[in-house]
Amino acid sequence: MPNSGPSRITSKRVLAVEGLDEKNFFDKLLKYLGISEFQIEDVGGKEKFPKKFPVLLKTPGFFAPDESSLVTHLAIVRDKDEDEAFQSVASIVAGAGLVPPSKHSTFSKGSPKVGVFIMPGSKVKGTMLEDLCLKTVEGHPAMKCVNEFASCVSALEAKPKNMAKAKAQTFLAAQAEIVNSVGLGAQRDYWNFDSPALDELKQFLGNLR
Amino acid sequence: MFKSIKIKNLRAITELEIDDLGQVNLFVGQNNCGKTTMLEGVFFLIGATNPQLLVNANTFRGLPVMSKELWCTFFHNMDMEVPIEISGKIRESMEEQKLLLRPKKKKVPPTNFEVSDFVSLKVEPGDSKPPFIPDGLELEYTSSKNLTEKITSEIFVKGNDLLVERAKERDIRGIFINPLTIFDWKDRFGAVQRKKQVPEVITLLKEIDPHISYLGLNEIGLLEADIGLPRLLPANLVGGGIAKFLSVALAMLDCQDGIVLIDEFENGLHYSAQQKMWHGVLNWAQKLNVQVFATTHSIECIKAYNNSAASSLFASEAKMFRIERKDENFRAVEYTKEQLAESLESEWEVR
Repeated sequence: MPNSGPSRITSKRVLAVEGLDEKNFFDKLLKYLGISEFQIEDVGGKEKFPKKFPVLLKTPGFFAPDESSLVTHLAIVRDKDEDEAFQSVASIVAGAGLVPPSKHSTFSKGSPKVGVFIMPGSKVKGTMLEDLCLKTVEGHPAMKCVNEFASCVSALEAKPKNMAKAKAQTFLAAQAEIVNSVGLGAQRDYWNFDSPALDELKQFLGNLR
Repeated sequence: MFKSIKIKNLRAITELEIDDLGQVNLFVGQNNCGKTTMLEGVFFLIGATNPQLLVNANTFRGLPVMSKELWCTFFHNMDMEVPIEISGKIRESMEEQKLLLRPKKKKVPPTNFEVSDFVSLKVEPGDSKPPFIPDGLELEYTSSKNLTEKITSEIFVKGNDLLVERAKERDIRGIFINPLTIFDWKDRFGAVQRKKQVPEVITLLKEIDPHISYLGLNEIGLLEADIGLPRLLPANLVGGGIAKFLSVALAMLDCQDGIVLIDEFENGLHYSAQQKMWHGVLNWAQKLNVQVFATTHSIECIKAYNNSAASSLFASEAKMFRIERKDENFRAVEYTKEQLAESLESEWEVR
């Protein structure tokens, strides 16, 4: 996405994600789903989210001068990273004066309606976007090579600390045109957006229509 | 030093409340959102017993005349029936100071009706209120420290003269700097000179012109600078940036324990000079206990403020507020130093 200076909130539907890679991934996925009027902003992950999220709400265009919300739907997508990720996000949302949803992958009835989705979702094992991406291509011919690579490096003394990231990078490296992030992989259509592994996420994102 | 300010019915502002003020406060917002009016409101409250400030404020806006027709321009929607209220809470004591501004009503001489069998009356408007002609403005100042004492002063036009009655000096001092007052140096330089603070001013000026080695008033009260030429040069001619630096430096140094209001901080300054001036302002604010209210439209100025505050021990006292307006609704969105830094880093708009 081109950088055209400081951004204001200009859409009624805002998706808050935890990095540039996620911005690229969701930009492609939302367009694939036929959702066109949205705005994606990077609010950081586990470490930065508590500080960045309240600042996002201060950005011009989020609230009107009479304090009413100009944003109708705010979807927050964050990696699991920890067991209590949903509670952690919900408590930061409440601390910022918004109504958090009562459970994962749903939206609250506040203004704005706030939804929280913790990656990779409740149906897929793992802790991050890369786990979900890999699940969408588990039948892909390149995955045989990826799994063999993973098996091989697992035996190393200094093996990769994050096997999902290592496997995702390997999958991307197995493509005709190599890109170095899952977001750019999404932009190149390397992940299978028709996979049932994405059903829960698609249903969640459908609220942004 | 104010903790909060509340302004009602002043010019474009219907109602605006700003709480948790820092010692140094930068105000941003779109054109016509009320930034300058907010500065004027604070200025009027500081000088709540000096009605002359009202006229000065219009002069700062390029309106150096006063007539009966202009009294209403201070009031929201030019409706003088609704008084202007400006109040502020003092940080340490939580004392509330309040200024009420309302029209000074002209005394209408009593009407004598001649009693006869028939009195012919013309048809008057169907309004129960007696007509009045605004003859000036009345300022009523009260403080929660002494609720029984009201200080009332007035300003009005009589013939060709503008008269002020019952003005009183207050302990608190405020200086308003805007593009039309930046050459207002003479008295302030004298005060700074007596306090032996001129070297501090020269040190700051050297940041934009290293040749400056001397500043002084000549025999006719003109401020002159030595910039290495064969003779001294009037400071006004050294350059717009120097003029702005001088103006801000002299105001800060001459306003210990007071309040300095700077409209359009960036005006006349190259972006590279803005951080140097912010550095000086933050240092003096801390050292001399000065509260600062400044406005800007410039993202360079905001970034310079953020950078200067980041390298200052005074960071927790540096705040930014965006004034937002939609029709009759106003609000001030507060950014702490950390939130401003986070927003700039995320490339989110803050203005």
